[in-house]
Amino acid sequence: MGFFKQKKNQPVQEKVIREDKMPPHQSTASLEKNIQYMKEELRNSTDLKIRLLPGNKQALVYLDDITDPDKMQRYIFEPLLKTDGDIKKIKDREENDDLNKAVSSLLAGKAVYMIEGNATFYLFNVQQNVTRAITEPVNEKVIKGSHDGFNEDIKQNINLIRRRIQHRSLTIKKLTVGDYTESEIALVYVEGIVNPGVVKELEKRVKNISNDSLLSAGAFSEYIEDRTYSIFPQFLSTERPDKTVSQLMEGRIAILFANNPTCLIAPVTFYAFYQSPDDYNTRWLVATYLRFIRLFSFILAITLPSFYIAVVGFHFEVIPEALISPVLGSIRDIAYPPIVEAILMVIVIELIRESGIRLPSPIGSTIGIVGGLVIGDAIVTAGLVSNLMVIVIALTSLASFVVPSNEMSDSLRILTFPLIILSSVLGFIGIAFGLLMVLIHLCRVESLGLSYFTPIQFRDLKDTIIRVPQFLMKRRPEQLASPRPYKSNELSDEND
Amino acid sequence: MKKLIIILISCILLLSGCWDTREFKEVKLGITAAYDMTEDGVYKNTILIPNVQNSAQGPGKESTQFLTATGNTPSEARTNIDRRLSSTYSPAQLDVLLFGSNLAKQDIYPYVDAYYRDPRMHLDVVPAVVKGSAEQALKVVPKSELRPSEYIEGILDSEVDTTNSFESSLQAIGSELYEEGEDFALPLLQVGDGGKTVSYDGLALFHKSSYTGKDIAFEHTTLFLLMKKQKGKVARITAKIFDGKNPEPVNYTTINIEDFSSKIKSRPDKQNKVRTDIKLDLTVMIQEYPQDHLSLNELPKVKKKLEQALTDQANETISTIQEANSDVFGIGRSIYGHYPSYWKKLDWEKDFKEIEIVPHINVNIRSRGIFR
Repeated sequence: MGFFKQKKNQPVQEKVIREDKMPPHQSTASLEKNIQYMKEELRNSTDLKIRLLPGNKQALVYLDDITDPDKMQRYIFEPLLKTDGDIKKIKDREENDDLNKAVSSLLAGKAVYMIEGNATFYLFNVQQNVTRAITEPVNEKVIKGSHDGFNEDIKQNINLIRRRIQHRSLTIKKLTVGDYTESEIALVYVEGIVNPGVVKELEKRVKNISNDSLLSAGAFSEYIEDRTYSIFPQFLSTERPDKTVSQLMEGRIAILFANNPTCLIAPVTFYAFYQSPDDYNTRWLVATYLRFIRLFSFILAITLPSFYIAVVGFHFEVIPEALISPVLGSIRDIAYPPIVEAILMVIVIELIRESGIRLPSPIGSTIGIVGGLVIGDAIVTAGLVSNLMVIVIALTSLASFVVPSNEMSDSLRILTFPLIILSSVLGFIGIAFGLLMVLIHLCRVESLGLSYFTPIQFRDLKDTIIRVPQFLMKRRPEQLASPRPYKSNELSDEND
Repeated sequence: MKKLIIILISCILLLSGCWDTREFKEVKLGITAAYDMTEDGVYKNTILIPNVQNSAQGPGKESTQFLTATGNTPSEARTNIDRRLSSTYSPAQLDVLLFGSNLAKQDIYPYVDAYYRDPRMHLDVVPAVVKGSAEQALKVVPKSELRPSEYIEGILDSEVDTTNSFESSLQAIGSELYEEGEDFALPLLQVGDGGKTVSYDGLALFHKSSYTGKDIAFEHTTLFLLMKKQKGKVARITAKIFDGKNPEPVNYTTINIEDFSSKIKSRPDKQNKVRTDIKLDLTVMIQEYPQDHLSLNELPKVKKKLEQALTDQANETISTIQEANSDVFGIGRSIYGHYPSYWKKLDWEKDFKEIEIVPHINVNIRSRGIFR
C-alpha cells in the first residue's frame, strides 16, 4: 500500500533516559558542588529552593511547588529541634549518596538534607498531596447503589478497591510508562480468579510501550489494543469502583492510572458495554427488560436511518397501506434525496450535542431547547428535511445515548454513516452487506487475545442479553478461562 | 495507480447502485385499478391515485386523481396512463383490482398475469368483480370518507369480518386460476344509489379464469362460507322459519353462529358418478326471535325448522354452483387426491354438473338470548 510510505530523511534525536534508569552519580563531600550539580540537572528551575541552615554547613533542598511546608515543619524541623540538630537521630529518613537519585527524589516531592563534608545525604518525603474529593462520576450515574467514584489519586483509587475486596489474593502491580512523564499505572487483579496467561500478555504489552509521555487512558488503550483500527472499543472504561470490583471478581484485569480517574477493564466482550451497575441492584426481571431495551437500541441506532432511506429510496413496496398517505404527504415536497436529508439532520444533532457538552450547564440546556425545538421545527417548515426524517434521526441519536458506555455510544453514531451510504446506494442489500461486515468484524476483534463477541451460548447468555437471578449465575464467563470457574465453593451445576 | 483503481472500483459500486434508486416521492402509486372492456373490444384501464397535501401538522387532506386510458393489451393501457402522469406510475401498492363483469366473463388471466411475474408487485391485492362497469365503481368517492382511496378496500375488508366474504388475494387464487378440479369465487360489487355508493353484493362464481355470470346472493354467502370452512369474526344468518304469520317479520329469526365444524367428504358413486356430503354442525345463539319469548319446550321445534330452512338455503346455493359449473368446494381436487384412477375416467368439465352434493346441517342451540 502506498498510502503510508515512510519518509526517507528521518530526523535524528538523542535518547532520553528515564529517571529510574539514570546512571548513579556519586556525591562529593562539598556541599556547594553537590548543590551546583543538582541545579544544573534541574536546568536552574526557579522553583528549586535551597535553604541554608544557620552556620551555612547544612542545606535543605526541595522543589517549592510540590512540597508541603507543614510536612516539612513536622517531619524535619520539629524533630531536628528535639534532637539538637543531629539529623542521624531522626526516624523516617532515607540515606543515599547518589546525586541522580537525589534529583529524582526532588521531582517526586522529597526534600534533600545535605551536610558539608558528608557525601551521604538524607531524603524526607514532604510531598504535597492535591486530591479531589470522592464524587460520583458524572457520566456514569446510577439511581441505586454506591455513589463513589475514582479520582485523580491512584492511591485513593486502590484504597477504594481494597476496601471492597478484603482478601490477600487481590494483587496490585505498579508499572511506569513514559520516558519523560513516568506515569504510574497499576494492574489490579484477583490472583486465582484471573487467567494468568492474560495477565502475562497484558504486562508484556505494557512493557513494550515506548513513548515520552502517557497522557490518558484512551491513549494507553491505543498502545495495547489488539485492533487499533477497529471502531469498537476493546477496553471498558469506567470511573466506578463498584463496576471495577464486579469485573475483577469475574476474572478480569483493571488498569488504574495515576492522575486519571478512568479505569480500564480488559479483557471485555461486546456485551460488557451494555451492562450497568444498576442491573445488579434492581429486580432481575426489570434488569432483563432494560438489557433488551439497550440491545434493541443498538440495532435501532445503527440501522434505523439506513432502513428508512432504503425504504423510501428503493423499496416503497414494504410501506404498509395505512402509512402510504402519511409518508407520501411528509416527503413529497422535500427538495433533497433522503441521504442528503439524513446527513443534514445528523450533522444538526451532532452540532447540538457537541456545542452542549462544553457549555456550562445553564447555557447547555438552552442550546438543547433552541437546537431541538427551534431548528427541528423550522427545518421541517422550511421543507429542507421531512418530519419523518427528523423523527428517525432523533430516535437514532436517542438510541445511541442509551448505551451505558460513552465510547461505545460514540462508535455507534459513527457506524451509522457507512450504513446510511450503503443503503442509499444499494437499498436493503446494502444494509445486509453492511451489517454482515460489522458482524464479521465483531467476530474477528479480540480483547487481550480473548474474542470480543463470544458469549453466544446459552450458559453465558445468563448475564448478557438477559440477567437471570444471582443464584443461577454460578459460573464465571467461559471465555475468560478462569482457574476458578465457579463463583462459589459448592460445585453444583444442577440448573445449567 | 493503486489509488486510482480503488477509486474506480468504489465508483462502479456506488454509481451503479444510485442508478437503481426509485424514490418514493417520485412515484405515483395507484391504490385501486379497474379493468373494463369497451364495446369496441379494447381494454380500458382506470386507476385511482391518492394525492396528499403536505403540511407541517401531519398529513393533510387527501385528494384523488382518476386516470383512464385504453389500449389493445393491458400493458399498453398502462403505458398510456403513464404518459399523462408527471411522474412514473407504480402499481406496486395496489390494494384492489376491479374487473368489469363484461371483461371478467371473458378471461381475467391476461390482466393478472403481469402481477404474478413482476417481483415488485404485491400479490396481496384483492381482486373483485363489479356488476356493469368497473370504472364507474372506482369513481364513486363518498365525501364522508376520510381516505377516499380506501373506500372500496374498506367495504371488502368489513365484509370479511361478518362472514359475507372471505380474504381473497391474487396469491390465494393463483393456483386455482388454471388448475382443474377447483375453482374460486370473488367478491361482487355493485354501484348503487344512483352512482353514489358501492355495495357488496355477494360472491361471483368463476370457472377456470372467467366469470360464469352466476353469483351466490348476499343472503346466502354466510352459509356458503361456513360450508367452505371459513368464518370471520361474527357470522349471522337470518332464516325464514315460519310461514303465513302476521306481520311478516314474525316469520323470521336471526341466529348468531358461535361455533361450527364443517366436513366435506366426496366419494365415487355409481348413480351420480360422485357423491359429496357436506356435514355442517352449527352451535348457535338465537339473536332475534320476533315472536316474543322463546320458551324451552318450543326449542326442538325451532331447531327443526331452522335446520330445514338452512338446508333449503344450502341446496339453493349448491344448485347455483352446479349450474355455474364452478367447483368452489374443490370436490374435483379431493377426488383427484383420494381416487386418482377414478378421476381419470371423469370428464369434470361436464360431470361436475351431474354429481350429487348433499348438505347435512345440524343446529345446536346453545342459548336463546342474551340471558338464557
